[in-house]
Amino acid sequence: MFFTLIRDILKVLQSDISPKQIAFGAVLGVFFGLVPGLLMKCLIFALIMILRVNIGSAFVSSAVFALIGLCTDPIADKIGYFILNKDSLISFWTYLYNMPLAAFTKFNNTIVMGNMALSFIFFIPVYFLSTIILTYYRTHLRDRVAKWRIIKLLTASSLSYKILK
Amino acid sequence: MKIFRWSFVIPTAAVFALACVFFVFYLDSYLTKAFISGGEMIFGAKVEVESLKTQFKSLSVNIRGIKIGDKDNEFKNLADIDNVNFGVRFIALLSKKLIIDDMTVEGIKWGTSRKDSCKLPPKKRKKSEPNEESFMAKAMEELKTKAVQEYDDFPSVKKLGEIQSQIKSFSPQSIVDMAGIRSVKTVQDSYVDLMGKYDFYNKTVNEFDIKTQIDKITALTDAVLKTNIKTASDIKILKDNLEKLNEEKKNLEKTYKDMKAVKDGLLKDAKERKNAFKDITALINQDVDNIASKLSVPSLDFKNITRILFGGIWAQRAEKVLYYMNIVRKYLPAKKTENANNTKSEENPSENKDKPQPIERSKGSDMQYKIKNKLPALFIANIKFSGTSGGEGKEGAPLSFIGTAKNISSDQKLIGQITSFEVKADDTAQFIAVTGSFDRISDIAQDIISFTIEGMPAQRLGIPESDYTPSFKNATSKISAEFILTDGDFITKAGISIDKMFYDASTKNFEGVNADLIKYVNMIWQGINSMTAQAQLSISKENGQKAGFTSDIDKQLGQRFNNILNAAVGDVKVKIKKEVEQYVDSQKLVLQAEADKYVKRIQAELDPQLKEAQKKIDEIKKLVSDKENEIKKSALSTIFQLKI
Repeated sequence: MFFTLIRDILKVLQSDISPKQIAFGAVLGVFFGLVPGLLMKCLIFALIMILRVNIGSAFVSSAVFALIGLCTDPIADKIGYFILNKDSLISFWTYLYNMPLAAFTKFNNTIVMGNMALSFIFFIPVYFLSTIILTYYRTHLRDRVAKWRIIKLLTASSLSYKILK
Repeated sequence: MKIFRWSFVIPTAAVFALACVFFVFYLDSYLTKAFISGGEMIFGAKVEVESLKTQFKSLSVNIRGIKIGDKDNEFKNLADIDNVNFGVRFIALLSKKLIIDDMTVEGIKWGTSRKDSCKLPPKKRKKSEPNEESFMAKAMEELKTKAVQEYDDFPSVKKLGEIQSQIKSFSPQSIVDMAGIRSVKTVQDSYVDLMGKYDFYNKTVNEFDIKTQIDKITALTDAVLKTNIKTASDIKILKDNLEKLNEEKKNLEKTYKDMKAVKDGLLKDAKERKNAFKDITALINQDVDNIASKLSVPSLDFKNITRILFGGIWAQRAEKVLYYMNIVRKYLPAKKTENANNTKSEENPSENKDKPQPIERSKGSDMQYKIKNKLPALFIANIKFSGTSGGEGKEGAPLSFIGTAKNISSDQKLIGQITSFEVKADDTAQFIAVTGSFDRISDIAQDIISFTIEGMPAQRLGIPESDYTPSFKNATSKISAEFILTDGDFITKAGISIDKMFYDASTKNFEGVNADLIKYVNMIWQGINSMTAQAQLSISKENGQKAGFTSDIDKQLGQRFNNILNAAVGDVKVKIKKEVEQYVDSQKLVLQAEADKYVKRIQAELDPQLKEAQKKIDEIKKLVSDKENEIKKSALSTIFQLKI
């Protein structure tokens, strides 16, 4: 599993996929990794699958941010509590709370709301950072890395790449 | 740039479409199965459904041909419904809430016969028993057992037969022998007293030595007669003898007096004896009353008749209503007070209630906001239903009815309305109205079902008939009843009135039964064509179970029964009196014969002595008088001679 993940990352890095696609994938991965709750994860997963973003980068990003999330949960809890108790927003949350499906998203949970806020906060930095890194990699490092035997071995099978593309 | 990944969207949409197709074709059968198994769990008997169709467009459900078996009667249906229609709210369904605004139920029938058994396999059935070990279930079981023991066998009516046979086989002679009656004892005591007196008289008579006295007097009389006055000394001798004779006469007179007193005593006792026999008649009457009071006359509590007629039916009906009330309780449970308070606070928020209340969890906190128009998991706002009292295997003209049920909900506090229903049926002959309410808003859950039935054939009540009770074939009944289940306490009250009932001995089977008994039973029921009865039953944890039955015929029947008993006891009294009188008369005759014999013997001894004594006294008087005259004459002649 882990090996496959590494292989896919390398394939993405070595491919000609648009950096924007990869960056958007990474951004959605942030949401996927940070925001807990099954329904929310299903929704984000559906978005990753439906939108033409890079799936590999999304899963890499989600794995990384899931680990970060373990550390940010206490902060997320405080942020979520602040947002959910904000007087000006209470009427909006109440309205949402009374909606039939919204309650299933667990938006009223402080961790969920906090992580959602954090995800939005990370949205732009992650997008730009991943674009910059990718551009830099492709310009300066891709050709050199492509010559590595391990890379050749890993990218030999292009079937999964085609599907994921 | 293409935004969507069609390679994912298209296969996903295809899978979703396949799932929809699957639901369209198979959802109905799955729902049917779920409906049947749910129904079987609730009613503890087979539930059958002819068809169940759902329509996605209008989210409506149509169920046809529902048959719910009766767990107590495997070849009968508890309910038989032709058609059920309802639509559900889509949005609420997404929140796992079944909200039905309007439902129609048509063609409701009950108690219809079925060709196959509705029994469930043992395991399934066990699941269906609601609160099998609950206090209420135990109390109802006890009540049913009691009803079977007390009402099924007509012991009190059969007691009539026992009473009659007891009276017929009654033996006054045996009672007279045993009783030691006062009149006979008085006669015997009187006899003993009298014979004692007679013995005393006899002894007294024997003590009289009248012969010696008469001999003495005779000797003195002779001496006086022989004495001739010739000299003065003769006068002295005569005078002395006369004095002695007077003395003896006095003694004889005393003896005569004593003898006379004995004779007077005899006559007086004879007179008293007659008076004593006059009192004997009063004593005999007292004895008869005493003996009759000792006769063990059975008492018959005619409250039993009401219990016999209605006890069993009432217990069965109450048990059935309570069973369904328990089912309602099971599926419409009362909310605990804590929850109630919470819900109240949700419904009536104070100033702080707008602020969200945190509930600590392992991961973060769930903020709760004010719930606007929160709906319960199940809510059926309005059900219109119709049906008939007829159906397969049921006799009599069917009666059509219509009704409504409102606010069937899994949480009444959320909707602020109690569950209620109302059913009405009316034709020219009968009127039926049933209302019910199931209150889960109050802190103490209360279920009330009340019904009024007028003009219903009394036969339908299932009143047990016997040879000793009237026929209800042509009778009509009016019933009003109320069943209240408050928390764990069950109270029922009912008033039943029946007209046109009739007792006809010729239609009864009295083979081998005493003719008198038939006559008495006829007399008891003669002219009683209507009755009213009130039944009460309560089961509570504090007071246990209490059942009470009162009826206007209780007193009437009791009075009639007592009259019959009194008449029968009157016959027995006559027998007793005759027997006692015969016995007393025979005792009197013996006594009289003995006493007469004694008196005669004493008189036979006494009378001659009295006569002789009287004669002697008279003789002495005459002699003394003569001799005194002679003495006077002699004394005068002597004085003259001396003067001359």
